[in-house]
Amino acid sequence: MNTLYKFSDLLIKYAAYLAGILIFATTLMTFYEVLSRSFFGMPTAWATELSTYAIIGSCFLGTAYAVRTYAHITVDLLVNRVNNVTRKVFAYICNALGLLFSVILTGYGFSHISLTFELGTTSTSLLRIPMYLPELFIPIGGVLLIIAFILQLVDGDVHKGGDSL
Amino acid sequence: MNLFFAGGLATFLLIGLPVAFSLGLLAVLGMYLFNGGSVAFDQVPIIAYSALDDFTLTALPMYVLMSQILVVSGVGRDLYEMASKWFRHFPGGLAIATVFCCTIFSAISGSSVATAVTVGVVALPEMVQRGYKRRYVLGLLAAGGTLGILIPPSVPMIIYGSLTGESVGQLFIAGVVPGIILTLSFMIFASIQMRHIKEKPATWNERWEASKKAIWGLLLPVAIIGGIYSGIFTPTEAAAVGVVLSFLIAILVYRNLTFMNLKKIILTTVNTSAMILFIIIGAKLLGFILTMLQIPQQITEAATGTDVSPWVILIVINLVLLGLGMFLETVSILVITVPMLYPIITALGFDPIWFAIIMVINMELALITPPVGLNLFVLKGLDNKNSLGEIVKGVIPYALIMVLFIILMCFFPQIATYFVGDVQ
Amino acid sequence: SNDDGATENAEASGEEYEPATIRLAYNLPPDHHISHGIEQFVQKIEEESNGQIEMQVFANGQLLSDKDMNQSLLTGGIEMGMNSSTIWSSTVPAMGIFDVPYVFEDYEEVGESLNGEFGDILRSEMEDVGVKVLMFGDYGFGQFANNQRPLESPEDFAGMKIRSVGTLPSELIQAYGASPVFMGGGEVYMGLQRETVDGATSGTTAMVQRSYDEVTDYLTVNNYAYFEFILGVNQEYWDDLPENTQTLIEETANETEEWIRHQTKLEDEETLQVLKDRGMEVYEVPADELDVWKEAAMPVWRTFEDEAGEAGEKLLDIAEEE
Ligand code: NA
Ligand code: NA
Repeated sequence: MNTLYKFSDLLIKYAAYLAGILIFATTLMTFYEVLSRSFFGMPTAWATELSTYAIIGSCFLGTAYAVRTYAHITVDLLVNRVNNVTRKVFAYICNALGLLFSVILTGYGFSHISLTFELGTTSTSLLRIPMYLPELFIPIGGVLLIIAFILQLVDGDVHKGGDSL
Repeated sequence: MNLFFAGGLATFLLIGLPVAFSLGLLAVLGMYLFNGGSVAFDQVPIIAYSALDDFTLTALPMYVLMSQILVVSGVGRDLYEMASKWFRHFPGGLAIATVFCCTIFSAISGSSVATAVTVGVVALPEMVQRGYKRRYVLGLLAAGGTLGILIPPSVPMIIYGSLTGESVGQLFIAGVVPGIILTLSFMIFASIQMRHIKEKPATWNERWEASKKAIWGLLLPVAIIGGIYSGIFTPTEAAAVGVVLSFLIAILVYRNLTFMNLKKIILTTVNTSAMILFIIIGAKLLGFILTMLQIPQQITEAATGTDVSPWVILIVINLVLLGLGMFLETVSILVITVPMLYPIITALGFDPIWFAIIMVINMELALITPPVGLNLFVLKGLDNKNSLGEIVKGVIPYALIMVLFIILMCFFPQIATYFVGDVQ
Repeated sequence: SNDDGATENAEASGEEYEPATIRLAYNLPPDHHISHGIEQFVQKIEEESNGQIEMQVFANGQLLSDKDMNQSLLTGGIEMGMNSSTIWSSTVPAMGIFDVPYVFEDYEEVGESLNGEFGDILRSEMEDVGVKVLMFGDYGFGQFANNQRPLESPEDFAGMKIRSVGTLPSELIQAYGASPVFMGGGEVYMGLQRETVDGATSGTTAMVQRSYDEVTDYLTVNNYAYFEFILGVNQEYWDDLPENTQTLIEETANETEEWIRHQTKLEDEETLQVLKDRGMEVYEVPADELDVWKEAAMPVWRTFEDEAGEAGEKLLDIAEEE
């Protein structure tokens, strides 16, 4: 159980590093596009499109880590004014609600990409990327989110970062 | 139904569910209850994906990355050290410098969020360290950031132009004077609000030394502004150029970018940008179901359908825009309301270019009004010590200035239209 | 009450329709002639059915953008959606035919083709993925605007950077020796103004709408593509509608299609004149030079053939005959 917990947490962290790498990749691709187009007169057919996918990827891969590190913004108006027990109950409810949303996003995300796959939809560009590939980030990110919220429920912690309004 | 959405959102937010998930889950529940049950869930991944499927959004994580590099390497500190030497003898001197930075950055980026992140990440720690009250600084940054869409170029003006057929060039020109006036108003207010911080003037030698040290940091905005104005890169691409340049400065000049630093930069950037992008997803999902249920349309229709004087209608329109601005993001509001409002405004005899500026200032307000205000969120994301409540409290005076400015524009429409006639 | 009144009216006109609410989404500005057509279409259906059929219209992409429209229509998120053939070609390759350069020479030819076998092929390809085509809404011919020099032959394109949308128009830009540039819709105006890109392609109606005349100097009228918008209805939803409702919608759609087609020609002419009046230097490719332009565009025909398979070949054959 403990190993599984540690493994899951590590998985989320590595996904976050991957998300960071995707942001770096976006930077390099976009910079290359600028050099290639403006100084050599040769715009690329791929930089804009792949950058967009990379940023979509970075969001879905990174969002679970943001859950684990309390980086998602919360409104702390009420939470900081109730007693510890209530606060803990609120935290459980929130993590359960977050889990519910993540399950819906993941489940319908999978059925969505299977439809895109069946239809063979591609991007409307010279690259003609099969759209199920970038869309795969949705269920992958969804699974990571599910794991993150389960870990939050296991921890049963409350958000300590905020200050009162 | 309206009560369900308003009450549901308040409940979720108050028990501490993150903003992004509050918006998303409320949208999902709305679909379930009012849009045919779980079959409507098929739309969730479609909308979630399309919320981010926009090349101009790629600039956001890159600007976050750039600002992190500037902070960690110390480029930002040197820039503020210089600003401090030049401005510190004015009351609230650094606040004036910050608004100035916002204005310059607005003029190049066309995006309010990018302006708030980039200026904020450098200005906030430096100003707080120099004794400025955190709340005041946060309010200043949230408001100063919104100038990005008023001072041309401006993406909302381009959208307004394509929805109405008005000339984008004229809209840009109409934004200049209001942009300058609003900038000056912000500066004056900030200077008065933070007047207690006034240091003795630096010597010319100190100024010179600080400027020399900040030269690399100064070259960065010069390169970015120059690059955009000469058309070498677009404002979106400028983010990538900014990251590369700040990296080079950090590695070659400051020589303090270690591997550990880099890991920290990566994780902070991922956290902040994933957080903001996920809020965009949540807002888009909620906007989708609200639009589907025609809630914003009905509100707009009810507000403009009454048979009263044009000025009353104008006031009501502004109130509706303020209300919608609390919950929806700016592009959604524009595409929903402009086609409904434009014919009404022109039929009432108002100038459509002038009205565009009124719209844009309302969109500025939308960026800083809770619960859904992107500028509030990006500032909250900058530092764990920032609470949403403090940011909101800090920004209230600036929101009032904007409202006053809208009223001023009603009495003196020439503020927007004076130079427009000379263009064509 | 209201409902009773509606029923009475329906009886008076002798036709009773099963109540239905149909959501229709599209992404065009309100002033566009296709938008006007959609307004008429909606109004007519509501009137003819005495309000029994309620049409909820979401214009300007306020509900769905071009990119997510098709997915939503296919999964029943909306009942009707209107989207460009270019976007449809990413799911139904045959729809790329409208982007194949110089397939159509004039407005009348488009109407004839779409009412015949040519249109049937496209309709059946769309039905295969689950969408019934109600209407082909003509957007108009595609042209090139730029801020560098008059483009009077395909060779003049050499080395230019042209903002492009869609696979086949990008292939054409390449075939003419220029480079397609991909940038967000909101950045094109600034891109042209600051010469980040040298040119862009679109219909003249859109060029007027987006103030291209402010940021480009030269317009080349070569009518290289005929942009088409398809009004589709989710097939499953359609099959469940009563027959008289189907008939009403189909007949109204046909009428609207004709009206839009007629209007397209007028709008193209009018907006071209507007661009001239606003000072753009216009080069209209003479009819006897079009062969050169078409010849240079042949690689795009081959690409389309490869992608659209048998249906594509048939479409090209029919187009060549005419
Ligand atoms: Na701007
Ligand atoms: Na807001």
